[in-house]
Amino acid sequence: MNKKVMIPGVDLDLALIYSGCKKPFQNELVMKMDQLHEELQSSVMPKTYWRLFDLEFLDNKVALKGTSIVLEGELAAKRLQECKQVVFMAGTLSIGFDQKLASKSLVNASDALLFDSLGSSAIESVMDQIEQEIQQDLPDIRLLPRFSCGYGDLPLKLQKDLFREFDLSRKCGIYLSDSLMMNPTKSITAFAGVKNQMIMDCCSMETKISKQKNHNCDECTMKSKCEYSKTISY
Amino acid sequence: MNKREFKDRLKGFTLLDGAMGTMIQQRVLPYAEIPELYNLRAPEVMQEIHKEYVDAGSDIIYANTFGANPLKIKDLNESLEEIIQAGIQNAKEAVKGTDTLVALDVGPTGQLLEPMGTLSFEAAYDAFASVVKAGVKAGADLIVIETMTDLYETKAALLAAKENSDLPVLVSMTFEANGRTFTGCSLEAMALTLESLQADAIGLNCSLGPSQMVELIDKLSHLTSLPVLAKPNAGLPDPRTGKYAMSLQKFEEAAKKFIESGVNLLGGCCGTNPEHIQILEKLTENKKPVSRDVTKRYGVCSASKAFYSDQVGVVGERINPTGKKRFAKALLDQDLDVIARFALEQKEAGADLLDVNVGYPGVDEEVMLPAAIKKIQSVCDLPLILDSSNPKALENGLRVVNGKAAINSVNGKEESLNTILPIAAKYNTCLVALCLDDEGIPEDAQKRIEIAKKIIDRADQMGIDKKDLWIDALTLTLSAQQDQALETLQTVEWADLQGIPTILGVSNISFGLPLRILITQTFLIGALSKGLRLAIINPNTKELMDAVAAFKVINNQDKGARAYIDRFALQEQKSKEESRRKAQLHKEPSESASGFLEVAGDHSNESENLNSPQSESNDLIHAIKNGMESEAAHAARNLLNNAVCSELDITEKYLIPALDQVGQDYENGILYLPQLLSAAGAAQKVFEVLKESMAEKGTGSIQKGKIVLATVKGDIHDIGKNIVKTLLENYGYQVIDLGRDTDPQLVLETVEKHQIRLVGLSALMTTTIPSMEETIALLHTLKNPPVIMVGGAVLTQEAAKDIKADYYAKDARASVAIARKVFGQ
Repeated sequence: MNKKVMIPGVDLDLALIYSGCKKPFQNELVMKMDQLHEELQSSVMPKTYWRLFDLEFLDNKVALKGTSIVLEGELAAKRLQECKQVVFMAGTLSIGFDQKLASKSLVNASDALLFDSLGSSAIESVMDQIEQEIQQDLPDIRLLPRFSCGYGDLPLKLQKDLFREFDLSRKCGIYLSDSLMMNPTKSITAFAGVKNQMIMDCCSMETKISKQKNHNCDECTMKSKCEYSKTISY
Repeated sequence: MNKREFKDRLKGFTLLDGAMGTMIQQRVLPYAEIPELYNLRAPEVMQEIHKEYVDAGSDIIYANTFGANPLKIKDLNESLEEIIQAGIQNAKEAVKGTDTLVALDVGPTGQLLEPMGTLSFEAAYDAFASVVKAGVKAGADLIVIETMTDLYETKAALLAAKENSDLPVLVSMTFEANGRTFTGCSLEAMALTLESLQADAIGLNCSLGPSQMVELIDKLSHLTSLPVLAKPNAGLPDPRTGKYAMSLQKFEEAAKKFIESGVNLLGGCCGTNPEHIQILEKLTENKKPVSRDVTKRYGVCSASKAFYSDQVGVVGERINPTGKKRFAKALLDQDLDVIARFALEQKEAGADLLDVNVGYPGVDEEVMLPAAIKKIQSVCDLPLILDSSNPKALENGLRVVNGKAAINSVNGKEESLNTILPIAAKYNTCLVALCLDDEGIPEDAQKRIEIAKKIIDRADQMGIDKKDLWIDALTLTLSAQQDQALETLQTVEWADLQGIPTILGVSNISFGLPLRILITQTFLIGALSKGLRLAIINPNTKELMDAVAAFKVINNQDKGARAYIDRFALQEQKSKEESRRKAQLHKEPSESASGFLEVAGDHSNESENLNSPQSESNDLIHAIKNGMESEAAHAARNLLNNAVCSELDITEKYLIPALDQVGQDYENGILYLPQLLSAAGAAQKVFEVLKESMAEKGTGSIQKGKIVLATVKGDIHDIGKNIVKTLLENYGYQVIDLGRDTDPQLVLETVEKHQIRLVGLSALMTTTIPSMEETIALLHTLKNPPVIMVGGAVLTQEAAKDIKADYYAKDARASVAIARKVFGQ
């Protein structure tokens, strides 16, 4: 039977690392992850949303033109310093994932752990897909690595403004609690600086950097305490 | 306008209005926290916008009250009543001199409801009730509930509307192109549920452009005989500009298709304006809606699955404490996880519906039934049958069902007819009707049929359609009353000829006879061939499920025998895996942990094990270490059956040492967390066996101490907490799991009630540490506060100290070490 792959390119190795496993992975773990991956693909209905904005630079802040959104702090300034535009993206695996996780938690703690980690990996793939879609729609630009509220000094409370401005509960079915947690749990909001393609091609070094994975431990405030920083190499 | 007039009006075309948001944006008004504040700050502008729609042809305009909900406006100075009053007033001003009606526009609360979210159904209902009351007071002509994506929230709103006003109610939900809402609601579930709650018209709005909505609207129009509404967006917005750019021509083409499908109510949502309404006016002026030929289908549903009673289905009977001491104990302990597992297990085994019975001496059904329903709904999407004779319990349960349920049961006794029929009528449920009365179970088909007719007649008087009744002809035991089997079958046949669905529990038939399963199976097949629709059985009984699967091919229900072929291919596959795992169990244990490829729901009958107690205990240890759940349970059962070890012995001599060893391997990096948890899972299965055995014997329980666990208020992540719970339970501690988003007060009350000595709190993010601190401070107000351990991704030793916790648990194993310290082991 032909099963549709809802989310291509999910990194199963990353999911195993999130579960606390180290390489080389035992065969049973790999097989189990494959089985859960199949289940995940048939239980999620990812929903995405993106918008393109011109940027306005004022003092130490970067504003999205035509909106009430202002990005404060060093991280945003650094990531967007050479950009004229920014893309805002939101993605979610949807509630189907959490429903499935709730049943697994009741029946098999090991499966639940692996499935939860798989979801974390899968939502990153969904965000990768949004970026690919944006590139197809806007072939003349290139996106810089994405970043989210909570990275570096970009405040979490910005999420409140984002949810209000973009009405994400209506657009994507993502809700924000008063404690700034998103529900469904495997949801991400992110920004990515936009650069003109021709300028990027002239700077081959910059292009190399931008092709790295989106994660960058240097900027992260948890880097001294994070156990994954030892296992994931970027 | 009264209801009859409104219903007549809906027989013709009714034009709704278009978008409010884009119209407001065009006028560039000063910033307001929510657009509903313009009702007070710029009333003339609102009246102008409304007037434009009235002039364009709208028969109903939606007041600017979509976001006016207590949960959304809590930080504002203005009151809900003010905002709604002004909103309705502005609309009324605009319709003066016309016969255009003003609708109170009720949008979602903006919060996700339980079980996945933290807003309770009751809190959502209360919020909607305030909105409705304010709207009625302000003089709205009708209520519109729109842009709903959660059927549960829609139910809360619709119930609130129906119970707090006499106004007509239109309901539209928002679907995605894949035919589901964000929460997985299907069109079938939407139609069945909203009809049962007496919506006056139903339909779709928002999210989709008109061309995408056409297919879904067409499908919906065949699922309901209610008037249908379509209020699409003006296409999809361009992400580069945020603007809706669909041409009016395309809008018109799609509108024509809506009309062809028989839609009565038409309007536009995001991105539309009066021009779109003018188009609709042009298309519908002086015309009548296309009449729809809808064959009504009867049945029940969850939020995502409908079961129609014109098909054969299996009702899982296992959620019932009768004859199940372990289950009864779980009810008395209010351990809802056990109920949820029974639900999942039956779904896995192929049940189509679940019977839910929580009646037992000492159990408060009026509280337990709705609690059980909510818990089951959080993990299982099967429609439910509420099994109780307590009318209050039934009502409490029916209110919180997400979908449309059935009641089990009413019978021919006056008392039953007088108490149960009104509830079934009020909530428009399906209803199991037992063919017995004050004189007991009749001795022939004719008398059973008479009782059935009496129930049908009385139900009809209360407005209950006979096809919502499920006739239960009652199964008696062959060994006691052999002639009754045929009477039962005759009654089933009669009901089927009337077009009334039938339901039957079959297990009783074979009591006292050898090879019971053959008699039961044959009786089941006999009943199915007479027209039986619903068989109440244990879905784990292979022979009965096989018979149902085969019959579904014979009666043309399982098209192409797809499900039948899949079932038997899967069975073969499972049996091969089972043999492979059994062979592995008896090999030399390997150094690294392996073999935790567990197939869920393995319930095949296991053969007698002729091994010695020594090899049984080796099997047990090996199975636990390798996470082999059914093998571990089997080995434990054998040890108990051979009376070699007591339950306590098994725990102390084998289970805990095995877990300790696995824990050691985990510390040494030989295996990782998933494997540790697999072992814990196998240990849990052993524990279930031991608990069952102790419950049967009445010998109390293995309990080293009670621990309360909770994820703190504002936090919805519980994977970490669940892992800690699993491990603690496996080491013999009783865990009271308060779940996620836990109120500090609830933790305090639970600690006091159960005299708890150890509490574990978890939090994922910095934003919820204040909740943790608050909970700890509250616990410290007790005279003899419990020991408090904390954990979670964001916690550290220092942070734990800062918030005055006693211990920091860096992982699940650490929590076991802390428990051992606290309880002195």
